[in-house]
Formats: sequence, structure tokens, C-alpha cells
Amino acid sequence: MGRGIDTVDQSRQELHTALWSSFVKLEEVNGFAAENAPLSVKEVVEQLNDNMTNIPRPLLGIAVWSLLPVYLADEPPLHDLASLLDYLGIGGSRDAVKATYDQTKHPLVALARLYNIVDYSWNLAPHPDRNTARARLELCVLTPVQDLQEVVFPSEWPKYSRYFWGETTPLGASPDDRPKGASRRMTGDLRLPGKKAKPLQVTLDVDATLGGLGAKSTYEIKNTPFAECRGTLEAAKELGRPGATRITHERSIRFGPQPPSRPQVEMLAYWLQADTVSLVLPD
Amino acid sequence: MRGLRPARFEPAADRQTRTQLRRAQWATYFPRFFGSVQSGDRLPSGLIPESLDETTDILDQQYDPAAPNRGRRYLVRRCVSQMLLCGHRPRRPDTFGQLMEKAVQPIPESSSTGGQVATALQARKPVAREFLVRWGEREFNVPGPYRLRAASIAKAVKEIDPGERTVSLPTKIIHDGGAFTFVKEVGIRQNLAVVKWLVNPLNWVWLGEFFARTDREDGTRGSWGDHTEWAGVLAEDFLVSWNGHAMHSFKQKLKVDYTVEQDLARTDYSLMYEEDDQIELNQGFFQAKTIEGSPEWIHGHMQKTLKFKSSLLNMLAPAIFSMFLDSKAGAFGRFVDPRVVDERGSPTSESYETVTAARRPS
Repeated sequence: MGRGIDTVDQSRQELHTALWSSFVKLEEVNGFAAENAPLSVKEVVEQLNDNMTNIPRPLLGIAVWSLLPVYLADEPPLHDLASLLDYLGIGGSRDAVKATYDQTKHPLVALARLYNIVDYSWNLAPHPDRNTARARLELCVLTPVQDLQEVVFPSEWPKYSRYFWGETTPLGASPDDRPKGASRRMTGDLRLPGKKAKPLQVTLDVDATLGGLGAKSTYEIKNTPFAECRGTLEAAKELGRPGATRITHERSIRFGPQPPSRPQVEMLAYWLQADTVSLVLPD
Repeated sequence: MRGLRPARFEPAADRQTRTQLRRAQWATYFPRFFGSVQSGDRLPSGLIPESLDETTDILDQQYDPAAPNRGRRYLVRRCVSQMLLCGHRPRRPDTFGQLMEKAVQPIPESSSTGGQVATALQARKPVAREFLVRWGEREFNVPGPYRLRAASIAKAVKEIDPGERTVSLPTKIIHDGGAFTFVKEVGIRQNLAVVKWLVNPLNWVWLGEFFARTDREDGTRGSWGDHTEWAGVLAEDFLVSWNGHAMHSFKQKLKVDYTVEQDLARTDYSLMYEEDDQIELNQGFFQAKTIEGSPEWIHGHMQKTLKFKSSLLNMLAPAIFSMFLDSKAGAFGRFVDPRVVDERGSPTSESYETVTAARRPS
């Protein structure tokens, strides 16, 4: 099952940055270093309109949904998302789109019928350390756990989440010793969004378990620009719903010695949502 | 009424007994949820339950603590304690008193000790009523009118039933969006390896009188001890007997997934369809899990969300499914008793015929 696109690095990085920028939603971009600067809303909308067929649909969906407040704020709208909404199958009159948005604030609800999402929850949860941002996404999809559990293992992430992950290479262990409670360390290419951002070679420490009810990995990503980055990703059989799987992905980042800024929190939100839907939902 | 049909698919040899036990349970659950039988005069006549005096006779006939049918003790205890909690005034106090005494008797270790226990209990006759009321209040979470002498009753419970291996929490019922969710939890003193096969939906037919059939869609049946994981379609026939004249059958096809882990066995299920289109929603799970830190105890957890098409059945649903989950939990508890199964979960020679004959699908 193909999930993701294979374009040249540069154009992929531009689209990656555009998708992230849809979360940041800045009309004017000032005060960012070149390597981690987002695009303005105008640039984002242009990028998405020009490349809609090249972007995995779930990623396009969360980006367009994030932009809806901007689209709905003015009459006539300053930025035209109509074609994108039509492409995603959630178009219609502006009033109809507004009604849908008012009812379902989260993009995954609007996309639910396209991807058999039967339940979801999303929150930016408070963290005991005020300098750390934490986010959690749960998705329940009508896919058997056997078909999804491999995405829990970071070694599989490059296959599905191509915007963020390049190849991973195991350190000191054979590639197939992954399941059944294995602890392992690997290196990987992490691509964070930003106009001029370069891939980072990071190290992942992973504890993974695999059983009849599903799989879970707990990971720490090191050698990043952040002071600390940890997460857990679990795919489990949904209680009382045979054939359905609940994906729970939680990630926390301590960006530095101060509380995270809004763009930093938006970066975490984008990273977690984009990573997870890329891993779980087909293009 | 739709769905009323003869129970032609029940095991013929034991049909009458199973029907009587279903009738008796409905007769005691109905008044707890809906008041006295007189309040049922707005129901279709076919749904009005037996009188509690008739029910007393049925239970008295169907249960002898010293006989092989002693596994019905929990069922009888549930029924009798509910009659007491509803304020039942028996027309024949002696018969009812005798049933109360039987309901509090422990299962004898062997037939020779049964008589001794029965004799010993004669001296404690007055505590039977109080014990059953207290037991029922705990079991059903019903605030009772009785001011119990807690310390003395606790002592009596200990004396009467030192071998209790099951602790049952009251069934929770949540109504949301027109559907009911029922939750039943039990603590069971037994090793998971002994009972995990009962979580296999193919073996649910062993768990009480309400299941008439639990087979694979192709007709393949479960067998004693079979705990092979599987996922697929279960054909489940479920019966409710309203009284001596009328019953209701539900023939469902359920999507199921049965998983076995070292410390857990679980079945998830959801309705595909019911043959007479009587049920709109039926999904849930049945799980038995070793309690962390206490490997000799299992946490049994059942949850069911259900909605009927009929508003009348939806009105009755809380009573029907409290009765059903209590029955299922009770039947599950029977199989942890060392007098019913040995340490490996195999039926003891004495219990085998009794326990299996009535449950074996025809």
C-alpha cells in the first residue's frame, strides 16, 4: 500500500514546510531564522493548490482544515480554498463548509468517512514540566491490528512518513530482532519543516513489544535541536469492536530552557498529526 | 409479537429445565426493575412474568445443594435475594423458608458431608434471610429497608460460605443516545489457564440458560477446554422466557475476535445482523485477566452496548441484560469451583455429566 510521495528532496521540503505553515497560519512571516521559517498563508495556499495531487490526501486534509478559520473569517475569503475542499470531497457552499467546521472542529472528523475513522481524540495535554509541550492523538480505524501494528516500529516509519523520515539504520542489532519486547538503538534521517531546514541524523532508542492485542513502542529521539523528545506509539485491538484498531500516539518535546512558543507548539501539533495519519491512513 | 417462536433449536433433553430457569430469573428481575407484577398490567399478556410463589416452586424443584445440580446455587441465591429485596410476602412461608435455607447452604465437599452441613445450618435458620438480603444488597447495590447487624452477618457469611471464590460487583447500566451499556465485573479466585476457554465465544453456550446456540457460521462447535484464538462470524441464538407460555428468541450473527495472551483472554464482538431485524446495535467484549500481583485471582469484565428496534424491548432491556450478565457471570463462576473442575480445568468426574449434559448443544 503506497502511502506518501516520492518527489525530489527540495520540492518535498517545500511542501513539508507548506503543510506545517498551515498550522502556524501567519499572514506575515517575520522573526524566524531561515532554516526554520514557515510560509505565509498566501504562499501556503498557492503551494497546496499547485500540488494538491502530489500531497497525500490525509496530510492535505489536516492542512486545509487547519486553514479553514482563515478561509471563513472574511467575506469574500482572502484565500481561496474551494478547489482544495472539492478535491478532498468536503466542499460545497461556504455556508455548508462553515456549518461542517462549526460542528466538527477536528479535521479527522471531516475526513472520517473517507478513511473509516470511527473515533478520534486530540489534545495538547499539559505537561508537569512547563517547558515541555505534549500532544496526544488517538484514532480508531476499521483496519485489523495485524495490518497496522508494524507502523508502531520506528524502523518502518520511513516507508510511510516520508516527509519526516529518511532511512533508519539499526545500531548493534540485526534488522529483524524488532518485536517481542526488544530494545534497540538506530540512527535515522529526520526532516523537520522549514524553508531551509536540512535533514538531521538522529538517534532513536526504542523499546518495543508485540503481542496478540497489538504492538507498542516507546522511543526517545536524540541529537535533535530540542533538549528532549520522547514518545509512545501504540496500535491495539479496539475493545468491543472486532476488526478495528486504536492508534494512540503521544509525543512530548522540551524545546529549551523556556516554555515553548506558539510556533513551536504548532510544530509539535503538525509533526504528531502528520506523522500519525501518514503511518495509519492510506493516501 | 414478533420473534415469538418455539425453542426448537434448544437441546431437547433439557429444554424444560432451561426454560424454567429462564422463567424463574425473569420473574425475579422484572419486579426489581419495574415494581410488583401488578404494574405489568400494561404489558402484552405474553410478557407478564410468573408469580413469585410459582417461581419459588420452580427453584425449589430445580435446586438441591446436595445433588449434582448444586452449581445452580448462585442462580437461586440471586433469585431469592431479589424476591426479599422486592418485599415478597410468600403465600406458603414454609416453602419459601426452605428455599432460603437451601440458597445459603454451601456446596458440600462430598455427598457424605452434605447432610452434616445441612444439619449444622438448622441452628442458623434465622440468619438465612438476613444473609440473603445483605448478599443481595451487595450484589445488586440495592439500598434495603433492613438495618443489618453488620458484624454478626459478616461472621455468619464467613461461617456459612468460607469457600466463596467469586466476588461480583453490581451491574452498571448507562443510557446514552437511546442505547444501553451494561458493565459487569467479577473477581474470581482461579488461575486463568483453567477458565480462558470459556471466554471463547464458541463456548458461551456453556454459560447459562440464555444461550441456545453459539457456533461458527459454518456450524462448527466449541468443545470443553478449546481456547484456540480465532476471528470470524459467530451464530448466536439467545432466548428469553417471559413465563410458562411465551418466549422470545434472537438469532444473531456476530463478528467476533477471540484473543488469548499469557495473562488475558478476550472476545470482542459486534452485531452484523439479527435474522428478524429486532436488534439495531449489539457490541461489547468479554475479558478475563489475571490481576497483577495476585496471580490466583482473575478480573472478569463484561461490557455490552445494545439497542433494540422495539421501544417495548428497549424499556425492558435494563432488566433483561442485568439478568443475562448476572447469569453469565454466575455460570462463569461455576467453572472455577474445584468441585466442578480440577486444577487443569478438566471437569471432575462427579460434575462432568451434570455440568455438561445440560449445556451441550444438540
